[in-house]
Amino acid sequence: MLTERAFQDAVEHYLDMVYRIALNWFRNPSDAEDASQNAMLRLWQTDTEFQGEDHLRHWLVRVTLNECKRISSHPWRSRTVPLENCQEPAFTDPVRAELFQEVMSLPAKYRVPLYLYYYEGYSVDEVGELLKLKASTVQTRLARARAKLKTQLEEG
Amino acid sequence: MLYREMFDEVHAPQGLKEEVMNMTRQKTTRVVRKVSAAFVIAAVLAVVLAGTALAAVIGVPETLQEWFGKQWTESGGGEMSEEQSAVIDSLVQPVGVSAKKQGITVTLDSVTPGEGGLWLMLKISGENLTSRARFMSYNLNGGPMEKEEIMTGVATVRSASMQMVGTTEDGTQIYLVLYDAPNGVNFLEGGKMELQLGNLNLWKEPEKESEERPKPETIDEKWVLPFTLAPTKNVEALTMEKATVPVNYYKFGDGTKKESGCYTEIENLRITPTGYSFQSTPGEEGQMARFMVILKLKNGVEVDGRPTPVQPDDKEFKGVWELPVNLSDVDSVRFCLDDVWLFFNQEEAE
Repeated sequence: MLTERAFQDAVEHYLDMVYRIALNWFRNPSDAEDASQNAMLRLWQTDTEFQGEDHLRHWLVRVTLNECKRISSHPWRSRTVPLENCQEPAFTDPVRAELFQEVMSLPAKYRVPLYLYYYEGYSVDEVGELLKLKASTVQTRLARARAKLKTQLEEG
Repeated sequence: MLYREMFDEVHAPQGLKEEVMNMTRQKTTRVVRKVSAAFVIAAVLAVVLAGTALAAVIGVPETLQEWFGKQWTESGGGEMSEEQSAVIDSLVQPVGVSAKKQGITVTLDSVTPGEGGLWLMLKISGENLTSRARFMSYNLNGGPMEKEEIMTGVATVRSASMQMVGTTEDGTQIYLVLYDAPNGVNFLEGGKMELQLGNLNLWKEPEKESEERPKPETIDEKWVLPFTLAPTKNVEALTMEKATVPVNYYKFGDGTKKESGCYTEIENLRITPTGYSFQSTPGEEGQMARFMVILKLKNGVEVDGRPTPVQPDDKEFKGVWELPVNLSDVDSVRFCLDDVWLFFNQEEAE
C-alpha cells in the first residue's frame, strides 16, 4: 500500500493522465471525473508493490481503462453524450480548441488508442495489450483516426 | 506536435484533485492488517449526475412509483398493467422524514427494499441550494445493516450509487439512491434504520461552455434521517436448483487478468420481484466472478439487473432489478456474456 506521501506524489504526477484517458473515453467531464476518482481510490487502496514509476504508471493506465469499461457497462449509465453538450477545456490557442473538437468528434474506439499512442507514447503492441486488441486492429484504428482528423499528426 | 500541445492544456479539474487528495484523510470502515496477497475490490461511492433541462420542466418523477414507471416506459413496456403497478405500489414504502442544515433541507421521500439493495428517493431543497448538489459521504446504519459481515484482514467499503432524477419547477432536486446490500444483509428483513449524508458539494456550471467547472462550495454538515423499514413478508420467488451459465473471471495482483468465455454451474437461483440471488464456486483461489443478468418479460421488455459488488472468492451473488417486476410476467432470465436463457416453469413458483 502506498504511503500518504507516495500517493500524493502519484496524484500530482498522474491525475492529469488518468483524467485525460477517461475524458477520451467518455467525452463527458462528469463521467471522466467519476472514473478518475474510482481509479485513484483503487490506487490508494491497492496492495500492489510497485516496481518503479513505469510499473505504477502502467498499472494506473490499466486500472483507469478498466474503470471506464466498468462504468460504461453499468445499466444506470447514460450511453452517449451529444457532442454539443460536452464541456470543453479552456485553450490558449483557438487552433488547439478546434483540434480538441475534432478529436472529441471521433468515435471513442479511435480516441482512446490515439491518446495512448500519440500522447502517452505507448507502442502499437502496448496499446493493444492495454485495450485487449490485436496490434493490427490498433494500427487500423490509428490510421482511420488520422484520416478523419483535419490536422496532420506528426509521427514519432 | 499540435495534438500533444492540445492535451498539455487539458488538466483534471481542481475540485477533482482536492477530492482525490482528501481520500487519504477520509475515515472508512477497514481493517488494515493484511492476511493474504488477495486483491480487494473497493466498491466505491459512484455518484452520477444525469438531470436534463427537459426533466426540470416536465415529468420529473417525484416518488419511487413514478420513477419505476418511467423506467418501465423507457424499457419499452408501454402501458403498465394493473398487476405490475400493484407490485410496485406494494413494495414502495413512504417515509417523509426531513433534516435541515444551513438552509438546505433533505427529505427521504420513500424507500423500496430488496435482498440485494435498498432504493431511496431523496429531495433536496432550500434557499441556499444554488447549484447541483452532490453528497460526498453516505452511511446507512441499523436494522438489517447490523448483520453486515465484516471479514478480518479485508478492507470493507460500502457501496451506493446516486443518480439525479431532475429538478422540479420550484428548484427541488430529486435524487435516486441505490444502496447495495453488503454481505450478510437482506433489506427485506426491515428494522429501524438511519441514513446519514454528509459533506455536501454544490457544483456550479461554468458561465461559458469553454470554461472549466468552478470549484464546488462545500457544506461540512451531516443530515441525519431516521426511518423504520417495514419487513417484507411472504416474498414470492421463481427458483431453479442448478444451471450452467457464462461467467467472466478476474484475478488481481500485478495487473488485472480476465478470463472470458467461461461457463460455471450456479445453484439455488432465486428470482424475486426486486432482484436475484444464487451461489457459485469460483474456479481458482483469488478469482472474482462476474455475471450479467437480465430479466425478460413475456411482453418482450428486458429489465436490467445490477449486481451487488463482490470480492474475490465470493460464492454468494445477488443483484437488484432496475424496477420491481410482477413475477407472473416473467418469461426467462438471460445470463449475458454469452447469451444463455433460463426459462422458468411458473408452476414451481413458491
